[in-house]
Amino acid sequence: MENSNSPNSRPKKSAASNPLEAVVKFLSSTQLATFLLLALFVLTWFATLEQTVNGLKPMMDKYFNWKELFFFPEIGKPWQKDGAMVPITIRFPMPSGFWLCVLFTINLTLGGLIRFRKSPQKIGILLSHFSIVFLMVAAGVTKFTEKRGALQIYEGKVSDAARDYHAEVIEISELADGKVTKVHLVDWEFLKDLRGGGERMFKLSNLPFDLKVTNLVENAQVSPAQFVPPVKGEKVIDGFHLKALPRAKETEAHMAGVELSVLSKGGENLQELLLGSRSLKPATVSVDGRPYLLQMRKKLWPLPFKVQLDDFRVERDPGTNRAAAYESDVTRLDGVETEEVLIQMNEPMRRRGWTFFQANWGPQDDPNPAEYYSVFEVVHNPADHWPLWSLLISMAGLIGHFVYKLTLFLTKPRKSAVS
Amino acid sequence: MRVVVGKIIALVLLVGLLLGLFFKGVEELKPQKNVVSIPEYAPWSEEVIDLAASLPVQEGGRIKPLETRASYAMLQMRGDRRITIEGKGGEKVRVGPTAWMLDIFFRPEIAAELPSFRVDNAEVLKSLGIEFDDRKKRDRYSYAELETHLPTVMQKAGDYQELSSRGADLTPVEEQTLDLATSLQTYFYLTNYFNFVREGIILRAGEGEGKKVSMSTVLATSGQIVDAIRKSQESGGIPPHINELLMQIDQSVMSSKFVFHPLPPTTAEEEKWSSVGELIEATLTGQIADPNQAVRDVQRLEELYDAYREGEKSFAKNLADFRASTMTRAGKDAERSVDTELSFNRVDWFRKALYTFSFGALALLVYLFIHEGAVGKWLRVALWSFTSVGLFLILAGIVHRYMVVLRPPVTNLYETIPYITAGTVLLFLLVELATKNRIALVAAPVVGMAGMVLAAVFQVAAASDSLDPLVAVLRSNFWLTTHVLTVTFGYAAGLGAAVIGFIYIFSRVLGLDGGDKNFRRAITRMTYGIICFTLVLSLIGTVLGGIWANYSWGRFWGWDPKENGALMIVLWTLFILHGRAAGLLREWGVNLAAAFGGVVVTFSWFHVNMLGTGLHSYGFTDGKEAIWYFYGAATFVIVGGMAYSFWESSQQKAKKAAKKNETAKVPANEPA
Repeated sequence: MENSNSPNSRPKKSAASNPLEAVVKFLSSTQLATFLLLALFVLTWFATLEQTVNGLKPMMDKYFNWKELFFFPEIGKPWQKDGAMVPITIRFPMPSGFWLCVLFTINLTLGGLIRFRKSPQKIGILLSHFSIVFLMVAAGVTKFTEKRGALQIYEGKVSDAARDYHAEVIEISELADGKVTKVHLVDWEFLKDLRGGGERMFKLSNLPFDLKVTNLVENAQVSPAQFVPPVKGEKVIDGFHLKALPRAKETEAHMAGVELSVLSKGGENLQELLLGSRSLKPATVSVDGRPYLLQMRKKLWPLPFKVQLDDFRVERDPGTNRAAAYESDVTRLDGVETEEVLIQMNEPMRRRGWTFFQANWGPQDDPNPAEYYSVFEVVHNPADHWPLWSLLISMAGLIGHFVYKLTLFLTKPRKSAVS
Repeated sequence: MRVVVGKIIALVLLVGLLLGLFFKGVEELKPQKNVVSIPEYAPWSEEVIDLAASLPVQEGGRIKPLETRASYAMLQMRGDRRITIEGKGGEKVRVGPTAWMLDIFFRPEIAAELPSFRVDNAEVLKSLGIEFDDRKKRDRYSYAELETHLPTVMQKAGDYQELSSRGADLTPVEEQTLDLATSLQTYFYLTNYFNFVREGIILRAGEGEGKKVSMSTVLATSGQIVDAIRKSQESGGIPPHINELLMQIDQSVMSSKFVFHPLPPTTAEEEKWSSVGELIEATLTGQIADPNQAVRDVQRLEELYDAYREGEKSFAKNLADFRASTMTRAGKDAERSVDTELSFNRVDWFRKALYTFSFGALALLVYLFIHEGAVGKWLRVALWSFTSVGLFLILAGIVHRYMVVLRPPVTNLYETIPYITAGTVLLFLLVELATKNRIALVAAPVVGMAGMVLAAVFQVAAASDSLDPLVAVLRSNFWLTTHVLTVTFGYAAGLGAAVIGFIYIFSRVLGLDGGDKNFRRAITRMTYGIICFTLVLSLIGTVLGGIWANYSWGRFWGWDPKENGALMIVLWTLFILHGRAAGLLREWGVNLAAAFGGVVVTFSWFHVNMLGTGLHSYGFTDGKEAIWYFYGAATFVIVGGMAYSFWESSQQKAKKAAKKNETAKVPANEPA
């Protein structure tokens, strides 16, 4: 935090003898740290403004896309007299948040930990730097490994899967005697980049056919062409087409749709289909005389145990419809082991790496419904508690250093008072 | 010469700022324009107003004195807490919230003449086809003027409501139409509340005028009425006289069901207080445990109204009895909180703090001229005293608010204002104690005054009860006292650093420092120290918020605007500290960046709540344009400071170069 702390403030040696040393010196420099902090500051500001225009999830996808180095922010035009939200694009290339964070972590590790001049007086700063590196690592672990979904469950019912908020899958079910015998999935990871007319072939080794997905619409409705005619040349299959619905700011409400072809192993087009997450019924396909069900739906995260909602209670502020508190009595069914747990606001249930948070409930417009349902946010995150540890470290470091500097300041004789 | 001109400019700016703040903060002292004449208006006695003010009612999920209920209703409708009218003989009468509410309840004809509704944009009325030739763009209207247009307003508001529920963004005119409709509806229910007494129930056995009886009398026979209805239904239909009776009861229920709940529950298990309409409805439908108590409650309100008709003395006595019996049933806790809130309203700590800081600012103005000798010493004592007393008054107000609702003191945007003001003033006083260079001391009363003005203006603009219960997720005393207090104290420190940064800019640009390098260094050291403090608080507060979010919503970080705002403060302070460490920011740079930190804190503290997105959006939009004026003014000063620093730097370089040239011209063997 002071000149003396900077690796650059060391007595100057001769120019870097080799390029690697020069790179390390640059990557660990306080100048780079300053630039990165400024860039992260601007990025955060734009991220705040852009989500008012495009919604949170699209903003996140755009700002932290590791496949791109730069992007152009889009914000709401300030000071619109009629209060309308008019988006404007800032014609300034912003570096990707993902790469800024990576660079920042490298800079902090090299300059703030490894090359940092260690002394008892600077242990506070060292600890703070370490805690931030740890926090960034936690963020990285969360970004790439976190599983998150919602589990909605009625009183007396049992569930063992949480529904992802965004990711969708194509589900292919094998049928025998009218019953599902086996389920195959095409994951969102392989579908999400097909938005806007992308095409991908899926070779299904365990099935007698392959699939070719030719288009994915992120928020779609399978609509009858007779009543809702296609307006942008959408492909009509069996009198239906995929109608793109307006993009919602809360993209959790989106339900995707795809155009796909069922191909024989020889590549012959057996059938063309439209699948939509909003459709209530799956499509039926018959290949080699065997029936299969195809449908699109939100991805489910299977849980390692079952959860039963025994009771849900809501307490309202007197004379209002506003919930003052709400909580769920659940039973965790884990093989022969059962456990009764109370889940409430700020008091989640943590079991076997999964955490259940009391997120919502319903029906909310009925003051005395016959039965309530409870909604839990279900999260699996290996870095769940890392921020807390990071906080404790940084708190110790910052407070220690601050108290040390304050003591120095207060005990140092002053030169002259200024009136 | 430059110092003198600079001092004059600084003085003009400071006096302008202080006067602007003072008059904005004490709007109620300003005489009202367009005073309405209502010669038949008779002011209520002090005794009646005091007794009515202390009546407990339940509203917004909590029990509060009628005075508070009236105060916020008046703010919502009128944007003000007083109406000045010309009464009998042209005498000026000031109508406060409780008197106004009493007028609406008991003297609806007179109340209808009071200018109770503020319309900020005449376009709102024009869009409804209502035009008044003699009115300004922003003006106040009486219920009598708007009553005939009620159906049109309600219809339009219904249309806008539907548009809004479909997710459409409403224009400000449409939003204001909705607000006006809400105000008119609330007023309608309040002014018709006692119709059940005024109109009673007309019992008709056949043709003719019929006999007027009280609602409580009818309610006492509810069992017979229900029996009669059942029997007549069995025998083929309800006879016309019972039908008419039911229609009258229904009208009374509708006019006395909403917006005013003065009747406590009869059992300790129940928490919800009732309105008259709810009691009547519950009694007639058999959904009440103690119908006799319901009859007695309705009777009590009828007696109250009768007492009003008999005269002030009788009314006062009945109000006192009504209050006593209500409190007995409401219980000790309710009585304690109502009494504490009343005393909080009476003391008006934040208003007193505003006046105290204003005196401090006055002392400051004199101190700028006389800061030496005995007078200067006394003025410093005065500055210390006024600022410390102002700080004490804010802290006392915060504690008093806590005693009313028994929850941590900072839970909503309004409550952050006194807390942050107190935090900044306290920080300045501590800095002054540590440095004794009087920079923080002169800034403290101005900051205190500005904060208290903001609190007053915000309360009027938001017009909602800031003591109402919290949403479910906020009901955690641990997190409210750790995360919220830490992060908002971080805002206070960030604003403190910005103020010192601005002082530096003005001192340099206007030449107030007289070129004193010690002074400049002292300011920069102060700015740097406060920035360090800001970082500690903001970082810990932000991470604590993340951990709370991890317990509540299952994620440490969600890029919510409020979270981002806190992170921006952390990143900005880190930028300043690292920029200084890297040698990229020096004296000017640190102070300019600290001043810009004020913009960042304002964005984080206030602006993110106006974005209408995220989990911390409080829907506060009134006075939105004020924030742009602040941004504009701050940017102007900062950019001006930057330009000046570049100019000054180029001047210094030119001087150095000239000196170097002169030195070079001197022959080596001659003395320079």
